[in-house]
Parts: sequence; C-alpha cells; structure tokens
Amino acid sequence: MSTTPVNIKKILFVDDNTQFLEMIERLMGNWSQGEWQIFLAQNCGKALLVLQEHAIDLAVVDVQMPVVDGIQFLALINRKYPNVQKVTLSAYADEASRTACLSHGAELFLEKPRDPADLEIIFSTLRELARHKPVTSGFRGVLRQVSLEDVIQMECLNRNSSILEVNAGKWQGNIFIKEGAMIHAQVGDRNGEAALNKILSLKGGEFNLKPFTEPPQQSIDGPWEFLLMEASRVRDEASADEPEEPPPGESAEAPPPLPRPAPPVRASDLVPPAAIYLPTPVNNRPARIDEMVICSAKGEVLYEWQSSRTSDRVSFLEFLSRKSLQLGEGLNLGTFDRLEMEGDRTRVIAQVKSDRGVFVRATKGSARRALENNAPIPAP
Amino acid sequence: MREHIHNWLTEKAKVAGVLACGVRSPDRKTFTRTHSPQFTQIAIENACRCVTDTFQVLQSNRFPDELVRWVFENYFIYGFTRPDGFCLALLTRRNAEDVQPAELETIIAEFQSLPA
Repeated sequence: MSTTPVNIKKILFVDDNTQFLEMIERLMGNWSQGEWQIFLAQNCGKALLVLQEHAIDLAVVDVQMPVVDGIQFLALINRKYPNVQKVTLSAYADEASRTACLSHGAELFLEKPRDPADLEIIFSTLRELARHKPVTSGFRGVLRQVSLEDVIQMECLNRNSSILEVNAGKWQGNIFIKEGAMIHAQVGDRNGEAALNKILSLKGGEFNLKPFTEPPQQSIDGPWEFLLMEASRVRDEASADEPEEPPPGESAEAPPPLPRPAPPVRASDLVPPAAIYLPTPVNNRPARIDEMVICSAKGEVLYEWQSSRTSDRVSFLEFLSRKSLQLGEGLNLGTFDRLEMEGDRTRVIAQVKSDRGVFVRATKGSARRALENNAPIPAP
Repeated sequence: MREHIHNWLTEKAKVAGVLACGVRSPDRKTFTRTHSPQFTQIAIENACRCVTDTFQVLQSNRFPDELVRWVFENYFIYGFTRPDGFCLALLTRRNAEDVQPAELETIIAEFQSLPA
C-alpha cells in the first residue's frame, strides 16, 4: 500500500466513459484543493487492482457499465473491502436500481448530472461523505458470499492479467490469469486443473488480487468458461460422494454433527420476553417459526432451518448492520440489537451482534396487529 | 411548502415519550421535529433517510413493513410507511412507562391519512 498524508482522502471513480472520468479528475481535483487523491478506473478489473494497491476511502461507481455492471461490482467490493465507502452514480435513476445499490452496500445513490455545472453539487455531497469516519465495526461479509468464480469471471471478461491468491485455512493457492485466460493454478502439491478444481471447491476463506507475474509453468489451457463449468461439475460430484478432504499434512477427522432441524418452537423460546416485538396477541396463540438463519460475523451460515434464500438473508443482515451504524450516527442510541418487522400475518426479527446475525421469520398466532391490543410494551 | 406536515410533526413531537420524529417524502425531502438537544436535526434527518432506505430493502425482500421497530440499547426507532412512499420515524426511549401504544396508534393513523 502506498502512503499518503492522513487528511488526504483517496477517491476512486469507476466508469467506462473516459471523457466523464477526465472531467471528474479535472474538476473535482480542482475543487478538492488537494484534499483528494483521485484514482480512475475504466472497468471493474482495473478498479479491483486500485483497491488492492491503495487504501481507498470512497469508491464512486457507475451503475451502467458493460460486462460487469456497477451493482455486481458494488456487491463484490462491499464484501472484499467493507470499510470502503461506496456511492453509485446512475444516468437512469430508477427505484429498482436504487434499492439494489443500497442492498449491496452503497451509502448513497446519486443521479449522474447531465450538466457539468451540477457536478459541483455531487462533489459537495461526496466530500461530506468522505469526511465521515468510515464504519469499522459490526457484522461484515467476506468471500463466503462472493464466489471465487465471480472474481475469475470478472478478470477474464475484462481480459486482465492478475494473480488470485487464495487462503482458506491451511489451503493456500494461486490462480494465474493472463490477458483474460487462466494459465496456471497451484495449491498444495497440485498444479493445473486439479489445483483449480480444488481451489474452487474451498469453502470460505479470503482472496487477494495481486499484480500479474509469470508463473513457473503453464499448466492450464482452454476457455475459462469451460474450466469454470468443469470445476463446478467436479465440485458437485465430490460434495455428493465424499467427506471434505483434509488440508495437506492433516488426517481426516469426522466433522462435527450438523444441528438437527429445529422442531417448531414458540417465538418466546427464542427471544427473552422483554425482547419480543410487541405483546403476545390476546388469544395467546403461539407464533409459528417458518424460517431461521444464523450466520457468523463473516457471513458464514452457521445454521439454517427451512430457508430457501439463505444468501439473501445473510445479505440483508449485512445491510442491516451497515444501516444501523449509519442510523445511530450522532444520536448516541447505544448498541443496536435488532430490527423487528411486522405485517398482518408475518413477523420477522433480524438481530445483529458483533459475532453473529440471526434472522427469524414467523407466522403470527393472531392476524391482529399487536398495537391494536393496546397492551403496554414490555420493559427492556 | 407542505406546511401541514411540519405543523403535524410539531404537534406530534409533544406526545409523551416521542423524543424526536421525522417524515420523509418520496421526493426525498425531510421534515423533522426534535424535543431534545441530544438529537440534532441533522442526525434525525440522517435517521429518516436510513429508515426510508430500509423500507425499500424490506419491500424488495418482501418482508413485512406495516410496523418496523429498530431496537437499540436505550432507544426505539419506530418506522412506518405509506403506499405513496412517505415514511415516518419516531424516536422513543426504551421504557415501558414513557410510551403508550394507544398514542402511537393514533400517530400512525393520523400519518396514514395525512395529505401528501
């Protein structure tokens, strides 16, 4: 990482429009009067390299880009670089894009100015945001929620050259990508496609995108699409047939037993009485738990019950973690505990702790809205 | 400009237990009222923006959103939304004696029928 005086903010702009980037650099460079160091990237691959090399404070991403769009890219940097503040710029600001951007970690969703004069307003907004202290605590997603295939695909589609360094427990490996083609992979004592398949079968872990250097050998040949498909097939077959392979030098141990599906429980069994959203309905019928997901602070699913959208639930918990920190800014509300959502028949509780996230969806025992019961809210 | 919203908030902020409140319109204008120096207008505006963002994400996930409550260590933030996109946020202490559900119910009903 390069060093920069502490008060200078590093701002990255990602946009496929070169003229727009040049204008940004010229105008915003002037307006910032040396407060900003501006980085420009014309595609997501180049932006990833900038993020790897520099401690970027704020990334401003165009939503509409060819190959990998801004929303996909946003999701990626949200997990890989959770402390980078993110803003999306869009020429077509519709609500669906806005919601998608916010869900994927954007602090702000701004309309791309049609008139260059309006850029100054954008600049003021960005400057305020960049001055905010980045959020450094809370629940964060990492590689677990972004498949390595996504990163490889992005690199290959952009015809980039890079090395993907992967660490997952005792497994450490590298995938060499040269001008958009995978040319070598190595993990443990394996090389070539066997190594690639192994790396792509690792569960969890982290990766670093490093500048390309020539590999010791070229062990892979063939279109990356085929290689990824083949790795996916091999992984599916292995997971169906075999227990997970131990890392090099370790003997296999029996995995801990998975939690058995939970029996139907009452909502009051899950949350202390004082923590339940609103009073139990007057007819006292218990709520029925329909879905539950528990994940670690890194976004790893620790337990799920009857959830067909586990990944969405984890993403929601990540969103909630970020948003609760933003919401509490300047208010001194104390630690955030949970969000309670209530509809006519459904109740959802999403709890975010420093070490875990919990998502519970339940059907209410009574269809009546709890407030209509006019009962006192339980004391904390 | 939407003076009635401002007036309504001024009135409602006086309801026992409501320390601050805000309404955010679909065109992203925010009206706030605070009765405590602890809660600045800027911080309440920021909270309203976050509540609105959350409603959008709840709707995209098809989560229930009739009544939403953020639970912090010492405070609650209640959020309500209308089909036309207006959002209401109420900040209360997390204390049974301070807030009466019946009063909250009244505020919600009035908010739902407030002209845009």
